[in-house]
Amino acid sequence: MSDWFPLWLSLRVSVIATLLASLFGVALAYLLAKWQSRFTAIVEAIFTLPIVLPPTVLGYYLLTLLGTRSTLGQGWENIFGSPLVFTQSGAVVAATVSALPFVIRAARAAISNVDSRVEEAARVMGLSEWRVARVVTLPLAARGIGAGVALGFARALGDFGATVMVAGNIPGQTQTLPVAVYDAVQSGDDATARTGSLVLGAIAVVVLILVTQVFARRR
Amino acid sequence: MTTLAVDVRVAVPGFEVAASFTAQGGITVLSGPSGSGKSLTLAAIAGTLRPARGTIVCGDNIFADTTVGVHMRSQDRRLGMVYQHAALLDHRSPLDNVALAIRQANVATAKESATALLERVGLGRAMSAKTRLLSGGERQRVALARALAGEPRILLLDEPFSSLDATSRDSMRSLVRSLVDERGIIALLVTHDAQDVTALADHVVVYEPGRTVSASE
Repeated sequence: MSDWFPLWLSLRVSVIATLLASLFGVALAYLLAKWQSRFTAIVEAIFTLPIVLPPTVLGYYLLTLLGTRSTLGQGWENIFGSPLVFTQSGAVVAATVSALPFVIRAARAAISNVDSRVEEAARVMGLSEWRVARVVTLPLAARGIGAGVALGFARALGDFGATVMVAGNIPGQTQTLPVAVYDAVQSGDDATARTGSLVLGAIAVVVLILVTQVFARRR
Repeated sequence: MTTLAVDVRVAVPGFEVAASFTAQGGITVLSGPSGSGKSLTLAAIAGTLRPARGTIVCGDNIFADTTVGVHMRSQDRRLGMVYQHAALLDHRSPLDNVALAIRQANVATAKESATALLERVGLGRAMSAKTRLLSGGERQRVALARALAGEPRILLLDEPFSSLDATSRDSMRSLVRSLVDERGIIALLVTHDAQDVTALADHVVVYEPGRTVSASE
C-alpha cells in the first residue's frame, strides 16, 4: 500500500472517538447503574441503537441531525467556522456514536456488579459520593470498563457505514482505512485492499486478545 | 455522656422489625436468632436504610426522624462500621484502606495516623501487603482500624467475629474490648453467638424475630 494516510487517519479518529466515548459512556453508565427508574430502560435502549441499526441508517440519522441545514450543524458552523459533516470531525462523531454502546453496556454491567456493601462501607466511613465513585466503584469496575473501551475502540476503528455517510469518502481528507479498502476493491486495487484488510484484521485480533485475556479475566 | 436512642420500625420487602432501646458508652450487644432484624437495625443507624417509622437520635444529632422527614446522610453521622465480611477495598493497601477513612485533608498526616492505628490493632508489619491476601483475622483488624479512623462516636459491629476461627475470634474480642474502653465510645455489637454476650456485653438488647423484647444491664 503506497499511501498510509487512511491508516493514520483511522487511528487518530478512533483514538479521539474512544476517549470521547469513554468519558461520556462511563459517566452515563454510572448514572444508569445508580439511578434506576422507568427512564433508565429507554435511555439505555436509545444508546444501544448504534449496535442494532444498519450503520448506514445510523449515519443517515447523524447526517440529518448534524448536517449544514440542521440546528446542531448550524451551531457547530457558527462556533468553529466550518461545517461538521464531510470533515474529519464528522468522522470522529460517527466513530464516537458507534463506539458508545459498547462502553456504556460493559461499564454499566461492571458498575452494577461492584459489591454494594463495599460502597456502603465507604459512605459510612465518611467518603462523599464523588469519592466513593472515584476510590471504590470505578476502580473495582475497571476491568469491565476496560473491556468495553477496547471493544469500543475496535468498533470505532472498523466503522464503515456511519463514517461514509457523515464524513464522506474524500481521499487524503476523510477517507479512513475501512473506506479506503472499499474504494480499493471498487477500483480493482487488490494490493491496497489486501494490505488494509490485513492491518485492520491484525488490530482487531490484538484487541480481542486484550479483552479476553487482560480485561475480562477475574481477579 | 452521649446517648444513642433508637425507636424505629425498619422494613424491607417481606420483613419488618420494631427496635426500641438506648445505648451509652461501652458495648451494647444486640443478641437474638439470625433473621430477627438486628442487622437491619444497624443499617438504619448507619443510614444505609431509611426507617419506615420512628426516630434515631445520638446526643444532639437527629439521625432520623420520620415524623419531620429528617434523614442525615451516612457520611455526616460520624460512625465506624465493621461488617461480617470486612468489605475492604481489595485494590488498595491496608494502609490506604485506613487512611481513606481519616477525615483529614492532609495526606501525610492521614497516613501517619493510619500507621498508628494499624500498629494499634497489631498489623504494623502488614501495612503495605496486598489486602486481598490477608487472612480473615487480619482483614477484620484492618476493618476495625478503618472503622475507628474517622474518630466515630458510635462503632457498629455487624457479626464481626462470625467468620473467624476460634483463636482470631478471641483476640479480636479482646481488641474490640480494649479499643472501646480506650476511646469511651458507644459500640453496638450484633451477634447470635452467646459467647460474645458473655465475653463483651456491658448491656444487652434481646431480639425476637421482628422486635426487641428487652434491654437489660
